[in-house]
Amino acid sequence: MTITLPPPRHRTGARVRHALGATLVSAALNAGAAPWVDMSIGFFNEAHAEFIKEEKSPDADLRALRFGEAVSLLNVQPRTDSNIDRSYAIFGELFAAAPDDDIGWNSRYLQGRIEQQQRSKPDLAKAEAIFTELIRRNPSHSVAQRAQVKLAVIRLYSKTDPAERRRRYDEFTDHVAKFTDTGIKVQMHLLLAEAARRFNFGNETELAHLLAAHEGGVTKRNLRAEALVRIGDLARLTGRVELAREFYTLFLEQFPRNDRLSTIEGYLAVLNAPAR
Amino acid sequence: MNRERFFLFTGIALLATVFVAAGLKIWKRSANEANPDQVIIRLAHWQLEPPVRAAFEKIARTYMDEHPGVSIEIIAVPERTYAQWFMTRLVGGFAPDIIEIRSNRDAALISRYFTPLTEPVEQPNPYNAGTPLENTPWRNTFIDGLSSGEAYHPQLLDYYAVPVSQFTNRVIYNRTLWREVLGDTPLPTNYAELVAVCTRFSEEVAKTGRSAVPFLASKYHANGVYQRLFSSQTQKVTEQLRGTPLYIYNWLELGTDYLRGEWSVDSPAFVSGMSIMRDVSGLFQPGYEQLSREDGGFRFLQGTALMIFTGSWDYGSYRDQAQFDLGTFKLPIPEPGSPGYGEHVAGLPSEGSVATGAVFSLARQSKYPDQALDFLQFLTSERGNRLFANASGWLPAIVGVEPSDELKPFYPDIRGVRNGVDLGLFEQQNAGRVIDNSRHLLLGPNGSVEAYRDHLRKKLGPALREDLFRTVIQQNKVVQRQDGVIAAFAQLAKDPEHAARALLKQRENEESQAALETLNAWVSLNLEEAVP
Repeated sequence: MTITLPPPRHRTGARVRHALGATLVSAALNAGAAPWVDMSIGFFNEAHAEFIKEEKSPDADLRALRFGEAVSLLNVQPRTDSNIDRSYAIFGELFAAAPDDDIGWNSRYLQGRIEQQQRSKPDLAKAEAIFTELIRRNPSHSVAQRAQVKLAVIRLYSKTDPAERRRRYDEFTDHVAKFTDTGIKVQMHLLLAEAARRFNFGNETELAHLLAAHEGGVTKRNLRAEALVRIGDLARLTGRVELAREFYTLFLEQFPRNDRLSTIEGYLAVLNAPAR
Repeated sequence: MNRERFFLFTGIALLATVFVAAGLKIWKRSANEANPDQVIIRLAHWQLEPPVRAAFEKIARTYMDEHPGVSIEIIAVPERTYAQWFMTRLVGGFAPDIIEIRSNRDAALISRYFTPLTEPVEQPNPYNAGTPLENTPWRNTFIDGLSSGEAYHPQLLDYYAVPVSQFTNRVIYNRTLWREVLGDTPLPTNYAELVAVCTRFSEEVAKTGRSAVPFLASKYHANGVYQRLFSSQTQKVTEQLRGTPLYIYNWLELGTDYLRGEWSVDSPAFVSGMSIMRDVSGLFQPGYEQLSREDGGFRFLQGTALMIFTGSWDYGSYRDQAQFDLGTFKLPIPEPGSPGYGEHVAGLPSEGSVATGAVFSLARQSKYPDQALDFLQFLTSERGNRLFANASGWLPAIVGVEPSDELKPFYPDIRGVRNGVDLGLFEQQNAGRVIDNSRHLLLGPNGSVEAYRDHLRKKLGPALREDLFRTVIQQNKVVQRQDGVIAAFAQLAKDPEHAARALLKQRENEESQAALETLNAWVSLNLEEAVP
């Protein structure tokens, strides 16, 4: 989608136009990218129509466009079971035709997501099977690593006894060490830290995952803030004074205006006090 | 001319005058629209308080003086019809360029009709040139870094609005009446002193036969008092439940912890919270729950009440309309450790979580998006925000803009402890209705903490279950949507020109999706069987 901007009318016009343009007029991308721009801002119906339209052009990259069509179908309004089924079928065709290219991997992954999340009645067993298959085929592929994150949601949060949950947890902890995609690794560490807190797997365990997530770089601002505070807290509670001091200070530097300021300053005063 | 004919002609003349005036206005507007050299930017808001309306007009005039060829039209719409009015405009395709919006939870509405401001907010605001904020990204020129849920959309993960103010609550008191009745009695600094002041005031006015109440409230104003005092009693709850006072509870986690038996309506802090609510309600005038917010303000301005607890947004109007001196102070809470309610209090609550408000978004259908954005930048520049704050009597939202002397007492004080959880977290859910609709059992003349707790013990659990179940379904829709958005950003990340931004947005969406998905899974697991 493009938005036509009028010519700049005054001194700030050019700068404003540039700033707006970067967000809005991303349609300056190659032609095939335009529907993806629409989809990135939630215009699923428009994106879907564009994919269908482009499929009819003579030099169309049909495989890429069919993939786009299937992704957009997931959110075409109104959402219907038949749309989800159609999307699943297209992903199936794309995967069967070339399972090892980028589109093939992503198609299979999205079939897993349909079973896990998109259907009105999810089938977690099927989703688990698809994700497991992707991980078995090539655990170092980034799509397989994304599948690990989604598999962890299913396996850690399903009804089971505490010992079995802990066993699964330790298995995912082993796997995350081998992740090669930094962004996905961060997500997995955040997920494991959260699970450690919820299922009482201990402060040290939670702290280790949060530190690993921080090292990889948490992108989302509020998650970053909470990770910094939580690391400070867990370090304080486990007696790692230096670490607590470092992360509380980091938090106050990055988020100076908040309602935790005085309490953290109080903790820092205690942490900085000479030991008796 | 007989009397009847006189009225007939006067009526017709009036009608004709109004018709001609309206026609001229429409003609002038059409002529302006048709003028290719005239850029018209319309800004709509619902702030009908006279000083705020005047402030918008003033800033529009200042901008127009400096930007010949640009016309800024301010449209003030009553709050009650605002939502319908702007939806009709948006759907009809003739929305104003800049629109004040409420809490922007509806992702579909926001993404369809409003322009993301994520890119511009990361650039310096050009109108801050020559000020200490010259090189600061626009986002960081707002005192909260645009962290409010109104400016930053938590599902779309983009900035969609910028604020012009921030709001706090204070007790506004009639200083003239205070002097007359209480002399030089100092302002209360803790809850016990507040009760003493109100009691003494009632006794003094009773002696003179005068009709005045110590603490005026409407249902709206009372809610603010209850919230502040109740959450003073739960300040230590977060540490008890989470091992640290720094954890931020959202209502889903608090509700899930209720199902897990981590807290209940019999927990001492919550019992004490209910108790202080009942206690303070005795200071309000009888029948306060029947009074609307507007009626409450009107009665206070009549000079028959000593104090009212309200927001900084009311101060400008009160100042302009009151025939008496005004003063302000923070609503005092119990002294930590003091007998009675002090046991649960850790300290004075910080206002560091006060977010900016009165936010304005840029409509996608604006004919002049660059000019509209330019006006938004002017309005929220250091100079623009100072002009606005001074004229409106509202607090500024921009770093370095000092509030006027009379507004300084309203400025958020970030020192203090995090306030406790409040049952208001369940607002607008079934649980919120259970808590709210049965409040007469606590606060009425025959009410009691016991009766209220009995009721909540029976009703709160099932209501929370329904709320949690329904919310998981709603949030799953967000997760579903994010699958498409993430796939889109992953594709765009392959374009070298846009790879950096697209990858960042992909990561942000993935992190957000994983957090939401695990929260949903956690709630669902506990709905099935509470996890110890």
